[in-house]
Amino acid sequence: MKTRDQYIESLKELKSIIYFEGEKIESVVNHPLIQPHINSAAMTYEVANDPMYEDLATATSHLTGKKISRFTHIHQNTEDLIKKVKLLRLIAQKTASCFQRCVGFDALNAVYSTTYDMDQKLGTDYHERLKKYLEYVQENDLMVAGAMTDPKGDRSLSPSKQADPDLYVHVVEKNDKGIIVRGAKAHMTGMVNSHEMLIMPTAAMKEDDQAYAVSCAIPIDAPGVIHFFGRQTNDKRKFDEMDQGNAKFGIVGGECLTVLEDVFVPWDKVFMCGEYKFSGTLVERFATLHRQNYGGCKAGVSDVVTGAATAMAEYNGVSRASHIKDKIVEMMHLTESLYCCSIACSAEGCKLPSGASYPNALLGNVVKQNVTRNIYEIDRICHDIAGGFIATLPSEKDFNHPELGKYIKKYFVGKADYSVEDRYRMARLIENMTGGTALVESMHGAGSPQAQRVMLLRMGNLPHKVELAQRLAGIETNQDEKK
Amino acid sequence: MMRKKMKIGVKYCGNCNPYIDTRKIYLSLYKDLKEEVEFVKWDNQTYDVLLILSSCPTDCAKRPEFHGPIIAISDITIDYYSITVEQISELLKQKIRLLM
Ligand SMILES: Cc1cc2nc3c(=O)[nH]c(=O)nc-3n(C[C@H](O)[C@H](O)[C@H](O)COP(=O)(O)OP(=O)(O)OC[C@H]3O[C@@H](n4cnc5c(N)ncnc54)[C@H](O)[C@@H]3O)c2cc1C
Repeated sequence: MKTRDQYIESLKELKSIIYFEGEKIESVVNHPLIQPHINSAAMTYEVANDPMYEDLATATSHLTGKKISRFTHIHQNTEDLIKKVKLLRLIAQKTASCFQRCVGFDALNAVYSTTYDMDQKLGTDYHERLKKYLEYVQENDLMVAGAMTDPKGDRSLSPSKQADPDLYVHVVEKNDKGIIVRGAKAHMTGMVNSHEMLIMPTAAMKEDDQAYAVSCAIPIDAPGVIHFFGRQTNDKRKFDEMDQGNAKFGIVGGECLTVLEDVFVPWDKVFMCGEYKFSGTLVERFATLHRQNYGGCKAGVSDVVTGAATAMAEYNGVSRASHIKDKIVEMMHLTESLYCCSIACSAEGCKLPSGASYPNALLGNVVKQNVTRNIYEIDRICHDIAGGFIATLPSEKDFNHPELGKYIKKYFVGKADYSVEDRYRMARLIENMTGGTALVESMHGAGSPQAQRVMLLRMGNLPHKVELAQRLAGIETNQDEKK
Repeated sequence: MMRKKMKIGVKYCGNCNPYIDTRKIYLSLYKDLKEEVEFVKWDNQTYDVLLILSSCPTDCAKRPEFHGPIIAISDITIDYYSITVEQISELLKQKIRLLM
């Protein structure tokens, strides 16, 4: 396994092409925009090497029997599924931002089980290729970005019906050595500080969309790959310290747009190429595995938000007010409800034909649906408790200014027991954790709310519920018998 | 002849949502017993006693294969008997000394 420092060193060897505001970023390491996201991802390496956390952060490879980072593991039982959720909560408590590595973890698990099913049905050898690739990832403890979401253009049209064929990643050429892919993947979490990306289709494909049913692994610095690092509401503050709020770990996962301009992929890294009937299975498995996570990581972030609200109430001198205590209890209740869902969908997991374990999909979708609401509510309560100054504070430069600083320190004072700087720092942390960028991640990350509702309708067995009601109401449930 | 020090293998749970601070418990134990026993990591050496430190009652720390005596702290219990936070370190020391 890599240590934290070895992970960061390994990023220096990459020759990736990354742009921000028209400028090329020469090295991601130590770049003020990207370093916080690197620190966050590095935490996944740090905990794996710490005896306090290794029980969650490591696993035994079912391929080699070696001790590996859990982020490169294929779940073997429900205990693995539960430990994943606990691990995510643990790391999020330390970073209070996205540590990015779960996306590739889920992608590996989804592609692992789907390639097995494909090979059984079609006689292909994708699963063997995936196993070899997985061994390479485990051996080198690589960070893999999970690349599913395409730009999608007109959402009412299928990939092959789009005006521009590149709005979904597709195969443009096949030869005896491999394939060439073109298109782009959007909102790519942790991509610029990963080693590899695992491409998956974004939706279930039909026969016309065969070229779009593609899954493959690509190094993030492969020829033809261009990344555009995304803006965040506070990105210019990354050049300050206090004003960032969470200077060490940033906000969300440092997302980017990744363009694939005719990128060659050798056959041994291709895990789906035209088998459109399996694209739906792959998407559904990835979605469930990814939705499972959110009551882990978001519970961890909410633990910090709750702690920040409690501290702020104390700094403001209102911590003894009964409505404040009640609101903090509500924050904890909402947080633990999210966690319960993630634990439940893991405990109710099942085995897939490949032998891998898989969360309960119905409950997994409930997790994510709740996250699209509870996080907004938790953050709303935090805003209520913290007060308006989290949105209107003057800058760190004014705070530290030799002549002007005295005014800020005088008028932003709270309870006498605490320093103005502590109150200022906590306000910035709250602003960072509960602001727009973080909220949108809870809404759309792992799929927009409607995507989960569609799954609930499909899996919730409504006819059974109707029958239950009819039976109790004394209504004949078998209509044929009645006739 | 000098008696060989007893070795204690230490294993933590993953500490995802701790009720107690097991690192603190270990450090206090280490400070008080380091002359009498040797503490080692559970997975890279042999040892005479296994100490499991779980920070909540779920006690999900995976048990390695070990056939000797095991002492388990999980939240405010020692070997599943309820104690208080204040008692943890002292009772742990007593248990370890009984095994020496
Ligand atoms: C912070 C962040 C990080 C992310 N990280 C990753 C990542 O690492 N990897 C990855 O693959 N993806 C990632 N995503 C992408 C995420 O999965 C998508 O944002 C999500 O699936 C929604 O897609 P979209 O953003 O294109 O929104 P849209 O699909 O445009 O959705 C907008 C609205 O339109 C509705 N809609 C969409 N299509 C239809 C239709 N055909 N009919 C009716 N209504 C429709 C939706 O329900 C929603 O209400 C990330 C997103 C965010 C915000």
